[in-house]
Amino acid sequence: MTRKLIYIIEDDQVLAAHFVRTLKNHTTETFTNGIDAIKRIDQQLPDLIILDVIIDGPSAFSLLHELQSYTDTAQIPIIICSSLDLTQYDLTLYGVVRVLDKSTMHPDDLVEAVSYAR
Amino acid sequence: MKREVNDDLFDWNSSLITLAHELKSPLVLIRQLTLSLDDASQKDTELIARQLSLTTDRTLRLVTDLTRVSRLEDAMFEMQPLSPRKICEDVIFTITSRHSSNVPTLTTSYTKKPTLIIAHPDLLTSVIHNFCENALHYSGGQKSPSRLFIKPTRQNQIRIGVRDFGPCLPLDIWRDIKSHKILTRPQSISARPQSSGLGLYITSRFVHAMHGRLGCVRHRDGTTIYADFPLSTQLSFQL
Repeated sequence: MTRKLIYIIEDDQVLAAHFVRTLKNHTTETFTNGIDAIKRIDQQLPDLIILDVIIDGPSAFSLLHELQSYTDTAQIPIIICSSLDLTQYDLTLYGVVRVLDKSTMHPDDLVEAVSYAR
Repeated sequence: MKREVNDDLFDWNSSLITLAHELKSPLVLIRQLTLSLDDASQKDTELIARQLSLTTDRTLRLVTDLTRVSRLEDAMFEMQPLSPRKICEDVIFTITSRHSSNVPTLTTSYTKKPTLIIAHPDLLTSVIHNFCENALHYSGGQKSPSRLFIKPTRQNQIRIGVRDFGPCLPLDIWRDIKSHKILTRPQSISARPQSSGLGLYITSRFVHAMHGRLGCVRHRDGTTIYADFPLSTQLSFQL
């Protein structure tokens, strides 16, 4: 399994720590808001982003728009992980490869989604 | 104002979603943490157990507060002379012991005059607890610590409040607090994500039930939220 660099954007720090533990076979960095994440993305592109929808500062959709504005960042696969039910929406145009519902998912679902994201 | 609140202006239709979301978030977290226990190491298990305990405490406090809000009109909460400093110290102790691994940045500043206010101990504890937790949540990453204070006002009342250095309170919420509109239903606070405004709503109802007045000051670098309470004329022997 390839070790990926994953940015986790989640403002609940306990949940973010849980994701880090779940993805212990990958290199992870956590951010509570999109602005800090964008700054870091400008320095180093991640292999994957795990994104909550309700985050500090600008919304997750502002971040998705921002990422789609540049050819290099538009290629980053994104997994949305939210309590909001977004599964019925097609977000592939935003680079979203998978939508996970936090209230029903199992930690293994996240590991699997990360494995298949490319 | 008392009459307006007694008229059951609580907007259940719009507020049920808020309540559901507020209760769903910790449940989601508890579920995720519980599922992760299977594969956790001994060290992680201890950490997860602590996080589970903190999350359930927070949820139970919210449910208890909601129950109290629904019973506020039943005159179950008899007012009595109380030392606000004693309540503040108890709250600080509770918060500090809970956050022992991650020391919160909260300083205190109390009036030197011995004071007693007319309030209810449980409701006042909840109000101060909500003030502190809110400040710690929204200014956790800031350099300046939030400050819990007690000071007399010109109107012969006692002001208890917290100055934080988080995102500034939006003007519409500030106006709702000033106009007491916040008493009717929770209003989400756009500048403070994860906030449904439920905590502020509960606090405003408790303060109102104790014949106090909720207020706030918008600063360039944060917010002061406070409640003014009537001073007790009973002699105080507390320092």
